[in-house]
Amino acid sequence: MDQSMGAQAMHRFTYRGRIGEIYKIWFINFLLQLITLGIYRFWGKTRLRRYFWSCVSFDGQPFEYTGTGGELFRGFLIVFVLAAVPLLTLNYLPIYNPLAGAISAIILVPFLIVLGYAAIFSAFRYRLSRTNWSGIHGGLQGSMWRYGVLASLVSILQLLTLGLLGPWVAIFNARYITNRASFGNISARLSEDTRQHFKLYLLCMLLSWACLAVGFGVLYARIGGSVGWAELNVRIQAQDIDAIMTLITAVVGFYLYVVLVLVSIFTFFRAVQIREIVNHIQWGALQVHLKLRYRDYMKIFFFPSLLIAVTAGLAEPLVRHWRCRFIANHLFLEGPLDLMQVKQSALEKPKRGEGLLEALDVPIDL
Amino acid sequence: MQAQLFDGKTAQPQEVALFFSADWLLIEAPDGRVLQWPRDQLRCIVSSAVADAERLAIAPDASSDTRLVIHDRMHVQEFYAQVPELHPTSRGNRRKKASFALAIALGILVSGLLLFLLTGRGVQWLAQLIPDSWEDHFGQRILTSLDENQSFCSGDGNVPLQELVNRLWAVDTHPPKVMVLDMEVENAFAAPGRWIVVFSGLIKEANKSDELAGVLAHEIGHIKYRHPLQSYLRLQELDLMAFFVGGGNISQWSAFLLQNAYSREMEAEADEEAQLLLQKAHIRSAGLADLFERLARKPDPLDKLPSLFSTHPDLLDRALKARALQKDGSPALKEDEWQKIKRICD
Repeated sequence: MDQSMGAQAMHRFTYRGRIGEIYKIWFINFLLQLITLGIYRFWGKTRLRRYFWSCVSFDGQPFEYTGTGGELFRGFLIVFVLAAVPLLTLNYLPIYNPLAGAISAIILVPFLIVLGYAAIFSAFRYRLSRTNWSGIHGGLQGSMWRYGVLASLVSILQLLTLGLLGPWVAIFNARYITNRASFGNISARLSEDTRQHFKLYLLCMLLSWACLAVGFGVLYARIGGSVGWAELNVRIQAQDIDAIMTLITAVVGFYLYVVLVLVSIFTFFRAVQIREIVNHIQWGALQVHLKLRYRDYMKIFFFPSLLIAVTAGLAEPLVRHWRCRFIANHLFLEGPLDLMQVKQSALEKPKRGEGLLEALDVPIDL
Repeated sequence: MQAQLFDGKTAQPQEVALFFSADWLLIEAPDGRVLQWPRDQLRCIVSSAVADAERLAIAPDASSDTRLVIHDRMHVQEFYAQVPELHPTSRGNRRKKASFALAIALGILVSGLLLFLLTGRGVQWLAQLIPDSWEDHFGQRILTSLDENQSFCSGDGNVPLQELVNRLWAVDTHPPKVMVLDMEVENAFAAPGRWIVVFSGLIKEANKSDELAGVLAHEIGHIKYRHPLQSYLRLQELDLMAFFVGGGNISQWSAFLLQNAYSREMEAEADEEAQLLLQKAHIRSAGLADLFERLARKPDPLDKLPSLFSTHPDLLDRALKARALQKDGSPALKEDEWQKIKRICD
């Protein structure tokens, strides 16, 4: 336990989860969720979080998750009703009145986008407030709606610039949330000199466009070389099964190629970006450090995501176990830590949890 | 007994001594202060079986951040011996487990109700709640959207075609309206609100008016049972179920298979109704079987899929069943009326 007052003191995380225990909880959750058609989901999620939180210790003291399934469920019910109204309107109003449907879409679609980002902020706030360490809980101050509007606007900017503002947007979002987060009375801060790595990002974009162009060229030449596009078109019109299968195979193959290429290139950038952001976060006088290499990111985040997909979710507990262990082993804080100066947060805890997130199915891990 | 107290004001732990009375847990701090926690409000912080055996955290009540932490297995067991009501196997905890089981049972009941709504009877019941005017309006919107991309045929054949439908409907009020869409597809469908759309490809494929009459009777069967509306409601319910259950791809596949099973049931129902309608109208009912047999001989890429994934039961099966039920009768249309329909999109 590194609880020294020295300036170079390292404060580490440890993780002692066991895969057998995780799967036991997960399996029971799965069965109960199945027989209750998903209603048990909120309690199941709470059980898993309690387990994972309790397996992670900081400076020898474990974390504790104090949220309840009832809070998640109540939050979900309330927001489900609130979100159902705009969603039903968008779905059914155009059937009865196309003009009214179009007007409602102009109002409601931006509202739902803002709602999605507000959901992320609200979820972070809930989880921080329900994370207890040594009797102290976390918090996130500020308005979720303000974040929702700002994040929506910067996303639109990113879209309008064809993605060129991507690095700036990522840092903006990270800074907005980090600078409002705290644990106890000690605030977190993302330093101003966090680099965007714009040149690297630009290189990744150019490389991906080049690879896409090459892939498309190969596809076009191959089909054109073997059958000829005009001939293929004629055969498809005549419902020639072989021609249809050729086209489907080509499209699926091209899609897989695009996904693999884009993912490979941008996960490299993502690993650099995450390392940059996390290594520029301070919690009070403590500096956060994360050791993350590209191959670590692929091993812990990218390939396991594929594993979850091909096992239809069965590998999810295993992947979470790996990720928790990795983060605990590679994340540490450096600097003086006086536990007497870590005082209870003055921020009020939200009463309900993550209703927006659940209702809108916005994915953020655990 | 020694323990650590995290007072919820700072992160600094204090080494404390514990004492027990009948109603209180007494905590003596190093500065001599004594905290009294009512035993009936104490809460164990549960994380995992293994961890809880070696370290036990206790809160004074459900909402407090204050924690009393007891380390090592021996002291944890000693604590449970002094405060047996907090032990996982205590009556209080058994009551909590019973409440939990009751809640699960309630959840299963609610799920059962939702599943009922997903079944044929449940969806039929739901469909009855939808007013006819809403259904009709919905159908009109579908047709309008079709008309935007393709065109409905406006030839003279529309008159005998509608008369044939009226004859099969056999009730004076509100017969379905039939329209022909100019598309090279050998099919027809019923839209919510008593609309039948026949594709020009099917009219070209039909050799005799009896075959077309069979198809129209089949679509009228769908309308009589409100299958189009039920199908739509079922899809909405399945979407909702997938949303609640979560599970991503598994839910979507389950919804797809469930919907397919339901569609096959509807098709079989409509086929039987078609036979009845044709017989009531004294129309030769062999046309439907003839058409199914001919279409079954045509190659279809979807033949390679197992029937579980097909929304329509095997055409040969349907042809056999239709053949078993067929009865003699008169032709559906006069020759000149049939030729008008054949030229309806010219």
